[in-house]
Amino acid sequence: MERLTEAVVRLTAICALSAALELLLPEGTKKKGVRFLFGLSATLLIARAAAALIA
Amino acid sequence: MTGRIFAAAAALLILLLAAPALAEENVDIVGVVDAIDLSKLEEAAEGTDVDVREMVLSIASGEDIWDIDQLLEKAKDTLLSELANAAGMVMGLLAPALLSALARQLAGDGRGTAVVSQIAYLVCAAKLTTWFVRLIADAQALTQRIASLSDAVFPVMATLLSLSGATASAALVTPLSALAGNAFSALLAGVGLKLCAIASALAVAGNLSPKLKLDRLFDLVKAVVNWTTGVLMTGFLGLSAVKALLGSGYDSAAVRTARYAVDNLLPIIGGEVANTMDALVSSVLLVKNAAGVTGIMVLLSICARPLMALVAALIALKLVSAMLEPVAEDALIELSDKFSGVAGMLLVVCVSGAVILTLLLGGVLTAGQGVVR
Repeated sequence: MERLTEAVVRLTAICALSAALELLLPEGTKKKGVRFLFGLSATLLIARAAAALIA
Repeated sequence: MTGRIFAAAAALLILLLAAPALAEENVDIVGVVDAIDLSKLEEAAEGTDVDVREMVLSIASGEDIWDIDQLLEKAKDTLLSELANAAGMVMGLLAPALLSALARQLAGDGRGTAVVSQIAYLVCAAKLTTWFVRLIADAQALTQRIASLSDAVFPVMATLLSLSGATASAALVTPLSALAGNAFSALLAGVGLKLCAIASALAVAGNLSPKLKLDRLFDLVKAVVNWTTGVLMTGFLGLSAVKALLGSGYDSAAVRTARYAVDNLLPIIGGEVANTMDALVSSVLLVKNAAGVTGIMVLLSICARPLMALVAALIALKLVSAMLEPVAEDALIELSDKFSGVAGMLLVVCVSGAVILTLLLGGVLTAGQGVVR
């Protein structure tokens, strides 16, 4: 349960950063790239949390 | 005329004969109630309107203690006060959402409007999080109180079952009550309520950014909570039903054998002793049922306010999302919807804790009925 809580905290941080990105950066290739990176890190975080629960 | 005199005399005779028997039955009940230790049950009922000893005695002696109108009135008052509390929260959520919608109308879709929307979202999220931290803490306290009630009521029930001769049922009640009181409560509080807290965090995080959604993860957590509590309740129901069937058959056979032995092996007074045994067992069973019903009443008193607070939260949040739909942004509506889902999950966890205890109490109430003729 602790790992799950930790994963949710990190996920919230990624979402907050993503929200800041949407507000601050103008639309362009760089923004799309960072957006993709945020999405990827969120996916990896969920996968790691699921693996920790199953293991 | 002579017929009437005979009828009156017969009625008087019946009354004279029955009065000592009724008085003896009451004395038996008081004796049984005095013999059992109700202190833990009284401790568990602290803070409720239930006077445990008084209620056990009045139910066992067949007095009418149910004032349904008063109970309904009280339930209505509690629900209304919780709805009034939730109405304050509704206002607190509507104000930033409407301000954000107004800003969008006046300034159009620009970066400034997006900042205002984000601030409105954060204000609403902070308010909802504070509210739900309190609701989750209340739910945790409720689960602990249900567990302590279970620990208090089942030793009494097991003692009374043993006294009535239903030893097999008494032996089955102890492990089942330990399971209901400790293992399930720990599971519901340790896993169910923590998952509810995680779902609240996901509801906030999932709508922070318009491009990074966590809807499916939220649905997954919700499904896990609902399925786990459902499976837990069904499994417990099946287990207690099978054990109750096995126990009642054994008890009935054991007591009937003892009665037959007393009736036939003791010369002259055997029949009288067997009948007295039946009367005593009936008194103990009356007290056992009264203690069980008292336990259910204490459980209802403990659960009423927290459950109504959750129902009020559920209704209020559904109302907020319905009211915001024509004007506000999707993120705020989804936030409100998801928090109403979390309120539903909390309700499921709390109700399942209460239902598990009620099922077990119901099982104990029906146990031992086959013991008397």
